[in-house]
Amino acid sequence: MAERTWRRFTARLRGDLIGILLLSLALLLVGMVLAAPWVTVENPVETNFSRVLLPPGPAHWLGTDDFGRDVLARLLHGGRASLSIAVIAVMIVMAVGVTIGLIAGFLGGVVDLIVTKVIDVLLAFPRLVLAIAVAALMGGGILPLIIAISIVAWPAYARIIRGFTLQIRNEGYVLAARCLGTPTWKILLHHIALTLIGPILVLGLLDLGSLILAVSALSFLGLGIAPPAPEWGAMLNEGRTSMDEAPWLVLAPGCAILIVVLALNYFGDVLRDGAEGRPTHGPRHWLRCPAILRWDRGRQAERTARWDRMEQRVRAAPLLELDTVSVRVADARSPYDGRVILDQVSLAIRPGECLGLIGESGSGKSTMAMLALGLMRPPLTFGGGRVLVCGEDTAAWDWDDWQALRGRFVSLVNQDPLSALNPVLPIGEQIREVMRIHRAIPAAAQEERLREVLADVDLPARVIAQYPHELSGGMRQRVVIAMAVANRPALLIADEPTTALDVTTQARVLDLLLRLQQRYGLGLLFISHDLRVVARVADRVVVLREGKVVEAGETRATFGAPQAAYTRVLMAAVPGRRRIATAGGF
Amino acid sequence: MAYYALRRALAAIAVLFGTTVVVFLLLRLIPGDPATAVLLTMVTPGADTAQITRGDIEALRAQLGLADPFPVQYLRWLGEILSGNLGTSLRSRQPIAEELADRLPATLELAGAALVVMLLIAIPSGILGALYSGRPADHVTRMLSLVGDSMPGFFLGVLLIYLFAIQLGWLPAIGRSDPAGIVMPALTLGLGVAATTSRLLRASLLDTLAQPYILMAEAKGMPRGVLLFRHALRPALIPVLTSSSLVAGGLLGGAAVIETVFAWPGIGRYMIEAIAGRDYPVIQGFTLAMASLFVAINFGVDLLYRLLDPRIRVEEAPRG
Repeated sequence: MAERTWRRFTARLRGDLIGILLLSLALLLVGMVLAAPWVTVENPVETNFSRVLLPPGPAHWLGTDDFGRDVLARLLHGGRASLSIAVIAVMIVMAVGVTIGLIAGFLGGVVDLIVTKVIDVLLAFPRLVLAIAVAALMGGGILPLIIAISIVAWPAYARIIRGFTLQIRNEGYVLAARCLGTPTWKILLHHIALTLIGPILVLGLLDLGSLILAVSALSFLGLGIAPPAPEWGAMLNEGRTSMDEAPWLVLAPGCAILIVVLALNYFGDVLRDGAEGRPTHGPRHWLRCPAILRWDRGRQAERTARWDRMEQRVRAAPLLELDTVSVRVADARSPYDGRVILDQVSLAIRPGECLGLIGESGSGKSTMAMLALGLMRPPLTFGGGRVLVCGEDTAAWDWDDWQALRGRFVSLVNQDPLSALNPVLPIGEQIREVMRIHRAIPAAAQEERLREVLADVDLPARVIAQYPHELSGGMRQRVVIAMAVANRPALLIADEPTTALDVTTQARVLDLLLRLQQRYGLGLLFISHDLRVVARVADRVVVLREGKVVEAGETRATFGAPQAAYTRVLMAAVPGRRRIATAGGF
Repeated sequence: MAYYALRRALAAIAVLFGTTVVVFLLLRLIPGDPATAVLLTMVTPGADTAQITRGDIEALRAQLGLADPFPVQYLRWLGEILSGNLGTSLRSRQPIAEELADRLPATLELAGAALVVMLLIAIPSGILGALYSGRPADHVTRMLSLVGDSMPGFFLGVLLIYLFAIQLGWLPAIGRSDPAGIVMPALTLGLGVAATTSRLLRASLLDTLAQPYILMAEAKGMPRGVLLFRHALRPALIPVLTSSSLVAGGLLGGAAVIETVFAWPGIGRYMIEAIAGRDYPVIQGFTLAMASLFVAINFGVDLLYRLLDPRIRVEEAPRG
């Protein structure tokens, strides 16, 4: 694990100029601190009033303070105190935290209860406040400082280690060792402590920066080493009084702390990224530019005019027409770069008809759904062809043009109802907002329509105030359908709408979709891998394979006498297919 | 919810009792005999300490109740605290509870202002980092938050004083007499805690934006503002709330340091003055007050968390 982390770490650093600069600066500083007696011959504590408050220069690189002491010498010698206190503290904290955490986690029972309570109580103090109190009552100085820092820092470690131990305790190899009669201490040492050593070291390294900050804060408050011995926090405090004439007295120790801690935190950040891996997320370019900045009178007028044209045509023209559309992956970093997702696909959905789209997974079905909603995102790009919505060419449309249509002219019901609803908004709100955004109707009419669509999808009115997690999967899919039809769209994209549901719910949701299609005269693009389902709902079918249309036609004709070899293979794969072919009227 | 609140309240009270034990034990950390230490602080500097007789010490021991066994001492002390008596300051001879109450508003004012500063910085930079993840804006906010995390508060405070009070003369360097005096301390304290929150918000928002319900909301034709603020930011902020314990701890602990830098007349500075004067009862009273405040804040945040996340609201209902 360590080796892999190291490799990732160096890979991240390569080409990271800031990181390299920061690390080398910090290493240089720490190196000089360690070699302080050899770097500077100046005495850090001896006063010399003949050279008070000299500015930085060739003789004194960082100037002198109000006692005539060389600031560089004080900085380097002081760093030994600051850094060694933090390092000692982190070692004590790790040792104590790990031991107590291991014992509590492994033994459990009363021991664990007592330890967790003690940890809870210690964590109930703001960290710095308790540290200040402990150091103050013990009278200040190096030892009290170390003790104070350790007392406030160990509980967090112990808690984490206890959690790890609880987890590992029940793993197979530990249970096996116990069954073999291995003594407890041996299990603790060999099986658990050795597994944890990597994470513990990383944890300690990450915490070192915050401990250095705590040490310097305490010594800034006068709770550290007694003067005149130098220490970074204390130097900063002493320098405050003559800051207006000699800012270097403050800048030198302050920057020293900042550089070391920053390098440690940067290092920690890189390590953490390396351990967790960089998250990959879809681009959100559409969110970046607020709509208000893009407000464009001309575009707005064009949108209104387009909407009027579409309203006139909506009964006649195809709702969605794909004319030799190709889509491919364009991302140099992706292993799928250049792969063709859709290959010269042509199809059309006429008003009120249901077009079934069949294909195995990876055949480009869902890309089709995204295409119809204007939601196709990089790395997918158009490779040619035209997408027409209600006779309008969409080639020049931007996100806002599509936004005006989504949920109003075309809407979506997708595969997984469990994750399609926002978990923190009540159901009623999620249906209302579709209406509120797209049409300015009075609140009363909106409420009436809300109840109407809920009745349409056979949901009781009580769900209005409920949250998604309170509903079953089938009920949630009904909510999604209600959202989709709330604005009486012309086209509904149903992308595997029943796949995630159990069989009886599937049948009911399917019936519901058909009923709504009748009632609202919906054009329906029904996407599924399930031949039986498509056969039941579709007027016409399109069979897709690896981005190509292999067969298209009337449902009955296609399934009755499939032309393409692939369609026959698909049909042969359906269990009990004879009944499909004969039942349901074809 | 009521059941949950009650359970959490009981747990908070139990923890508070634990903190009183710790605070009581703190006084035992004083090197040597507490009575002697207290007596030493009472003599005027320069006076002959040899004047302190064994009799004096014994009398004080009896007066402070130090002659009794530990548990008796603790229970008596606990009784006093429960009746609102935190003891008397050795220096001013005033009740500590009153002195703390006098100074608490200044600290709360500072912490409140710092919280506003933090929110004003952390929320926009967290959003920026998430929306532009992997791009220059993200790298800049990430670097800034690292610097914020690594900057000692007292150094930042001193730098601000040097720049805005000494060099530019725009703001008063110290004190609370001028309303503008709060700007720099609040900025210093707020910047210190902003980094953590900003980073957590960035991660949480990135996670939320990748959720299927955001795609669904987009497919519903929600405009940008609704998508970002209503659908993504609301759920993304809930996990960030868990970090408020860190923030509150940073604000309360940082207050002691920052108040010293800016001579802000709050309880943090009161504590530091008490340390310089070896006023042990004040240190004890302050620590206990801070812990109680911290426990109360965490309790409030815990309830708020449950209130904001509808999923937990139901799961936590009592069963059977």
